[in-house]
Amino acid sequence: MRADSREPGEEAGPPAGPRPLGRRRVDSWVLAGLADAVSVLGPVTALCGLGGLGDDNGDALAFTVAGLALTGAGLMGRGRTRRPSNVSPRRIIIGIGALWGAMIGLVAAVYLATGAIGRVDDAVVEAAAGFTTTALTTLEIEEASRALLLWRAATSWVGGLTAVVVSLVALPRALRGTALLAFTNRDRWLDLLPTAAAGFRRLAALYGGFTLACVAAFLAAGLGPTDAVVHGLGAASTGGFSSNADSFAGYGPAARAVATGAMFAAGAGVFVMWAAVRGRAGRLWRSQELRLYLAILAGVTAVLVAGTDGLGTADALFTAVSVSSTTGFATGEWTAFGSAAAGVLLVAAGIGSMLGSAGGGARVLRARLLAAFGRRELRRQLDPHAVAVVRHDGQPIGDGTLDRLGGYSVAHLAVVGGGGLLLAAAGMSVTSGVWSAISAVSTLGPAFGDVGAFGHLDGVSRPARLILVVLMVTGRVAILPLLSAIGFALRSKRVLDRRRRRLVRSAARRLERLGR
Amino acid sequence: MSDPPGSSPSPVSGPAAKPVLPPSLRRYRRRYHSTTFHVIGISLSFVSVGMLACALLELFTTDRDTAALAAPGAAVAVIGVGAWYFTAPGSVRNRDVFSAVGWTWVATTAVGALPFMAAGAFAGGGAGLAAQIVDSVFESASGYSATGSTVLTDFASPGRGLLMYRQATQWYGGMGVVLLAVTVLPFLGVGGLELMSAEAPGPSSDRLTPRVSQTVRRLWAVYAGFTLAVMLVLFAVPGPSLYDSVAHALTTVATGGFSPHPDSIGHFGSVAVEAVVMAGAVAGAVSFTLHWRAVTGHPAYHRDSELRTYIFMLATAAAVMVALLWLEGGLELGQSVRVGLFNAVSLGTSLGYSNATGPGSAGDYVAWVGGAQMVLLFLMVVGGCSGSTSGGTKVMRMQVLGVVMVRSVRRAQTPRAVIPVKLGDRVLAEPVVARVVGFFLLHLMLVLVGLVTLTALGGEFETSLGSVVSALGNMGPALGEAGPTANFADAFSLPARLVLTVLMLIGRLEIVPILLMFAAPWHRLRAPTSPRPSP
Repeated sequence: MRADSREPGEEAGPPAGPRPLGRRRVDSWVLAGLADAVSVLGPVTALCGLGGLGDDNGDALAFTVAGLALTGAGLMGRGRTRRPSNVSPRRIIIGIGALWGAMIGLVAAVYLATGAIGRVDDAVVEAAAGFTTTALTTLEIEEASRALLLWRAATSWVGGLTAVVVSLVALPRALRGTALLAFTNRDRWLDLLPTAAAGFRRLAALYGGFTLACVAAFLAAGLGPTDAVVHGLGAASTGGFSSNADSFAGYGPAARAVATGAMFAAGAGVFVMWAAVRGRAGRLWRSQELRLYLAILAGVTAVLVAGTDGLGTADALFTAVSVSSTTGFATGEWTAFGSAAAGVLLVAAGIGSMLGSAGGGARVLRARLLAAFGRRELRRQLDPHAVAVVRHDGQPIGDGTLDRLGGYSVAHLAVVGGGGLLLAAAGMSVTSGVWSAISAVSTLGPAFGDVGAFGHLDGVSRPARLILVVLMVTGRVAILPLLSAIGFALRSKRVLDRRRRRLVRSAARRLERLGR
Repeated sequence: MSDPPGSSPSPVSGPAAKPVLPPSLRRYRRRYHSTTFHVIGISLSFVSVGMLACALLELFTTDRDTAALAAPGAAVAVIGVGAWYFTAPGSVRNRDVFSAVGWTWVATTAVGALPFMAAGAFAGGGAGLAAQIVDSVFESASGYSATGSTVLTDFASPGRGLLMYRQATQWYGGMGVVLLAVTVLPFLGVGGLELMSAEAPGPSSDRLTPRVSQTVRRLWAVYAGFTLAVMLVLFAVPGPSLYDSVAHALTTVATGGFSPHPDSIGHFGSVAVEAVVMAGAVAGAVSFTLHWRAVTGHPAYHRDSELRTYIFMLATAAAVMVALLWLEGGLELGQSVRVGLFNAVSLGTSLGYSNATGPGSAGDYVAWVGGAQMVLLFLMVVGGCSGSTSGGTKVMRMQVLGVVMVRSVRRAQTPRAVIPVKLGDRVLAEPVVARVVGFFLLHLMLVLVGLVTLTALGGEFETSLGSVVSALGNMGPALGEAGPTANFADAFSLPARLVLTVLMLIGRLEIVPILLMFAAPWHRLRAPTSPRPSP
């Protein structure tokens, strides 16, 4: 996962790394990104295989070999690819989508090659769930080997890292400062990303350090090494994969408390972690986004405690944090909590985590700005000539940004609505369809209805599973790449048609000339 | 429209009529300047006519609830005419207009509940006073907002006049909405008709004549004409009596959905009746401005992109539902076509009639497969065309939102591009686009707040979601336990019914007026020294 260190407008320098003699490098943003991702995924896979030795050696060996093969492929790819110096935003956006699709295909291929999963569609679902950090599964967890559990958690960890890098480094560069990050980054205490290269290094260090801290905390809370690693990876990435079929139901208060803290920090995102690491935690209270995130958690917890018989505050807080951060751990079957829980958790899942987190959802910042947008329009109804400015953390937000936010939220809702419609057409009930669509797009996983709190897809039809894959990927990669890809595909078809017609015409002219 | 009764005739209008009121009272004519009270007075005067007419019907038919209609009718007439007579329109700044519109609907709903209260329509089952008040207000709000949700469980006890009054509330509601859409909302820029004026050729597509009152009269003529036509055709087809024809005609063009029968249109079991009702509802869900143009020999139906989109949406939704019901729902093809098409039109126009003959029957859509119910939920969200009597977010807004979505993608790809939002051939002004997006966001927020509130008050999730969408879109029946054969009194607790009442009013007035109706009183409280015009 090497980030391009050049700033926009900077001349393309000589390619970094060893250059194979006599071989030309391919200029491809997508292939270079894929090579980077594979060169991270490969060693991780091999480590998972090695970690599985002593449990099911066949599986362990298979994953080790697959990991080594991936590592080799990744290194070879890095040597033969190069990022072009000037790439249009459109190509970057589409490239991100293509990169994600390729990674899911690769992970699914590993599942199939190692024999961990027998069916292609199941492998794709599992790979998509892992790489999009969604806590859905088709596996029988009790029968899974240690290597498989570790690998599964590792896919979500790599997916989380990729999501953070893409959303904080690649997309803002592609959108040339028009992303939400543009004004978040201006804030004085958010100097995490001065340049792309430095930002990538800091992100990787923060993410890795946070993961190690989670694993250590779980070990200290009494979990075994495998469980601690699996849950540490799952919490840090907001992936939510567990080594138990009933997630955290079997663990004591200490492990649940650690998980609650880890999920909260993961949902708060790297900006909050960075501020804490730099000793600026005192200034965090100035962040309107963080305050709203805390308010959402407090509100959801209160409704859960008040609306569910016999639910303790700790478990309610655990569930609220799990859903809001879109992690997906569970201490019990929370889909049986009742309708009050169904309503408030749906809203929490839809809003999701904070900007800069590996979690999903519409994001707390967007929700805040959209609410402010609605309030501004109300104000303008009262006085059309009023100068009503939407601010965030004291900074005014431009009309262009709000306009894009509006368009983005419409697209987000269109995807959720369309997904719900398709899921219901594939056999789900209305509750199940609505909940599953929002949960998948927010990369949460568990849902009221057919899926349940532990995210097992046993009761879901195969067409519905594939729809869930599309929704997960759309929610993870963000809506823009998907819509851009559709637009690009349509435009490409038009271009191809035009070329074909031109070819036919020129062939006809040649034939005519030959005839003469 | 703003001339109060008893006002002095103008010099050119002929010989002076004898004044009705004594000079001591005439001194106070138009003395108090308040736009809100003046409009409330006009509205209550109209409503009282309906109450008194239904009292007469009750007197000559069942004669059970005559007093329950006549007494409130007389009282409302006195209050209404009094408010109309003694007040004059004050300032018409935006906040005053919001206040007038919002408080008028609230006042109308409140006094509209009086006949139900007086007749004890909701006193069954030992209901307490609070429950009777809430249910009466719910029924009144459902009527005047042309929603069609009901808490009436006993259809046998109320007299024919009271049931007809219930129907008439929806007719009034539909008429009020036409007035609102043509006169008030375009002025405020929230009604969607300004979008129509941006699209349709000519500068004044929303106002057919230079004078608003003339425009309103013409549109009401169209509204009344459609009502009469539906009534005559319903009476002509086998099944409905004259009473049934009038009762259903009043709520069909208004896209209300009340029926004097507990099993709604399913009571007749007639395809012909269903066809007439569908035609009437589609007519009610199309802009009345377009209808007037057609009536005057300038048909613009085919040129209206909103209408084309709407018809395409209805046809597609109906086709998908028929396919799902036939292939997955276990219904025969003919039955699938009948119930699929009827319910697509019923909820796609925000009418809310049902052709179910009982719980679990073919027309009871809560027993359908999930996919078909989701299509219905989608139709509930969208609703009909702007400038019509139907509810929902309106097709034109959805068109604009679609263009905004595409524009955001294109802007992401080419950040510096200037991409206007076009509807048809016309470019929409950015403030209009922002207003549409703002409306959509407010709608979404209300759905979420309503969902959380209803589920916290004990409502089942699917029922609550469907009911919030239904109430905000003025549909009538919802999903789950509040389906077409169910009753809202069984599905929701008393506080939840109160929440739904508020949502129905918010949805009917396109959200903004109700949210801002407190702005003018608040401003007056903060600035009590504002100059008052002398009488």
